[in-house]
Parts: sequence; C-alpha cells; structure tokens
Amino acid sequence: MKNPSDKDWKSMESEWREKIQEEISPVPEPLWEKISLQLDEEEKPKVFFIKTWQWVAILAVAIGLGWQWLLPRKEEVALEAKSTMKAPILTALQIQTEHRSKNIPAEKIEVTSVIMRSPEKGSVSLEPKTEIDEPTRQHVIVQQSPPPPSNLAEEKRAEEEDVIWVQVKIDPIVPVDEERPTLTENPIQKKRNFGQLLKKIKQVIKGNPGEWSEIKENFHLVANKYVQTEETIKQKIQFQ
Amino acid sequence: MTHILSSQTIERELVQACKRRDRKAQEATFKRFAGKMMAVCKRYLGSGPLAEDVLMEGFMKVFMKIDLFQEQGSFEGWIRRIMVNEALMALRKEGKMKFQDTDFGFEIGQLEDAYMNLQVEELNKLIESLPLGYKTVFNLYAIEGYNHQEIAEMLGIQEGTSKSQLSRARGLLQQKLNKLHV
Repeated sequence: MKNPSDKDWKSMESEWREKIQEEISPVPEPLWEKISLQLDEEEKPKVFFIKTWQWVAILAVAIGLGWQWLLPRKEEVALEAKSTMKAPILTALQIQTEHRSKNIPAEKIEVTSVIMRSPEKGSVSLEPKTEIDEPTRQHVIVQQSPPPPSNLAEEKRAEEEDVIWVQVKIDPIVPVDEERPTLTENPIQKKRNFGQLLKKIKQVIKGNPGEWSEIKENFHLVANKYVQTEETIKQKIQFQ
Repeated sequence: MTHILSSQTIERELVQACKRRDRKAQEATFKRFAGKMMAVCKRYLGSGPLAEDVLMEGFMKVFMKIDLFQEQGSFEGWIRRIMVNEALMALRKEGKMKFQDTDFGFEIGQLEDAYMNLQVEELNKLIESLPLGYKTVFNLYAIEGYNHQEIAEMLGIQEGTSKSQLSRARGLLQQKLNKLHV
C-alpha cells in the first residue's frame, strides 16, 4: 500500500470543504424570537445606564454648585449664631442695670474688649482692661460718639475717669465641632459681626427698645438659619 | 457575476442596517446565515441543545459587535469565525477540550477517488465519529482552512500537537473510509 501524499489529502479536503461549507442545518423556529428578546434586553440596560450616568453627573454638578453656594452661607450663619448667643444679650442688660445704678450716662460706656472662650460658666464680668489676659484678648472697639471737640485733652481725661471696662465672655450654644468655621478663620467678618452686635447692644443701653426687639428677631432668625444649615449638612453627609 | 455582485451589495446593505441596530435587518441576517452557522456549530458540538445555545450566543455577538466588522472581507466569513470561536469556548467551558496522545497505528493508505464523491451526510458522520481532539483539529484545518499556527493559538496547544492530531485524524478517517468501501 502506498502512502498518499499531503497533496492528495489537501485536494480531497478542499473538495470536502466546498461541500461541507455549503451545508445548511435546520434552525429551530423560536430561536430568532429568543435572540430578538435578548437584543431588547441588551439594549435596555444600556439606555438605563446612560440615563443613570447622566443623572449621576447632573447630581454631582448640582451638589458641587450647591456646596460652593452654601459654604459661605454656612460660615456666615455659624458666625452669626456665635455672635448672637445668650451671654452678650444678658451682658447688655446687666450693663444697662449696672450703669443705671451707678448713675453713669450711657454715652460714657465703651465696650473695648470681647473675649471668646470655650464653654464654661457663661456669665458676664465687668473687669478693668488691665486684668484681661493678653493671649485671649480680642479687641473690638466701637466708638459711636462724634469726633472730640477742640479742648480734646481735658475732655478725654474727664471721659477716662468715667469709662468702665466691659469684658464679655461669650459661650457658644453648641460645642464647636470640626466643620464649623472658627472666628479666627475670617477676622474681618468676625469684627464686623461683633461690631454690629455691639452697636445694637449700645443702642439698647441707651434705651432704644426698638433695637432690643431687633436683636431678639435677629437671634431667632439666626437660630433658624443655624438649624437649617445643620440639617442641610446632615443630609449631605448622609447622602455622601 | 451579476449574482455575486448583487449578493455582495445585499450583504453590504445588511451590514450597514445592522450597524444602525435595525431589527428587521438583523432578522434578515439571521435568516440568511443561521442554517449554515447551525451546521458549523453541530460539527463542533454535535446535534444537541448546546449547538443551539452557541448559535444564539454567536448571533448575539455578531449583532453586538457588528461595529467591529471592517467590511474588507466577507460578512459570512466573519460570522463563521465568531461561531467557531464560540463553539471552541463552549467546548472549553464544558471541559471537553482534551487531546488524545493515543496513536491508533493506522497507516495512511491510498486515497480512493470514490472518497471525493462522498455525500455531506456521510462526511459529517465520519467526522463526528472522530475523538474530540482529532475532530476539532480536522475541522479547523480541513474544513475552515486555518493553518497549524492559528490552530495552536486558538486551542492553546503546541503547533506539533496540532500537526499530530491532524495526522492521526486523517489515519483514522482513512481506516473508516476503507471500511465503508470494502
């Protein structure tokens, strides 16, 4: 027996290939239906995925913008909340009572120092400026009186005799947490807020009841804003 | 010639429509090639439910990856390659892809001219009767026209293994053919 060459096999295989490649097998009828359904399913999640992705992108942008928009408000609210706490209001009342009992005219009272301390006793003390600790001192000098007249030296001396030094200790309502901006972060705003507050206190001391109701209103407003901001932050943290 | 050109035009239009995810064009493509591709799947996997599953998966891949078809070669050839790959993957998944080292000791004898005139059914029966490793390599080499290097890459075997599997498949086939024509 002679072994057939590879060439023989190749020619025979090519003959077989032509026949076999043209072969058609019967296909079950419902197969296309299955493929069609599967194609529908394959296309659906893709659309959903794109939509979800778009939603996620929109949400991310919205959160980003919202965050940018809310951040300064949050600081402002936190600062306002700190500046309109019980202690300063009580201080103002006490100062008023104090200076009335001493028969000192309201114009002579000058608030020179405000000390911010961590929560402790939360009271008002009237101490001379010299006793205030240097490192904790925050000077907020409010001078509403008009510029001094020509005999400046004499009047200043007279005024200095009657000036009382007020040290206001402010206790925050809530302990300061990490996220809340501290007063040292924005000293200009801090000074302005305290300046405004002290102006109003001064007005109360002078006997303007309108200012007192304004302070009360502001206090409620700030408290509301504070609560709203806190809730917003909580929601954001939960969302993240 | 006119028939070939028109067939090519139809194929091109089908491909374009399939790329647009036109469901009717997809159905037309399926109906045009499903029979031939079913035969491919059966040759590798036998006539069972696995062949149907692979045909379905293969067409899913065709429609999902149609954008990758460059339209330089024939569309049918591209579909056929997908089907072959799907069939090989199914075999791998089933853990059936084993290559026998057994040499049956059949001598490759004279090829009769009569073997050329064998009917497709007879040929299919003969090929189907081969051990899986022999059958797969024979199908890839003799029917699909891949070379040993390509087969080795597709099956993850040595080129030498592909050659020896083909040689043994030929020997076994010849023995069966001789028996048929005795």
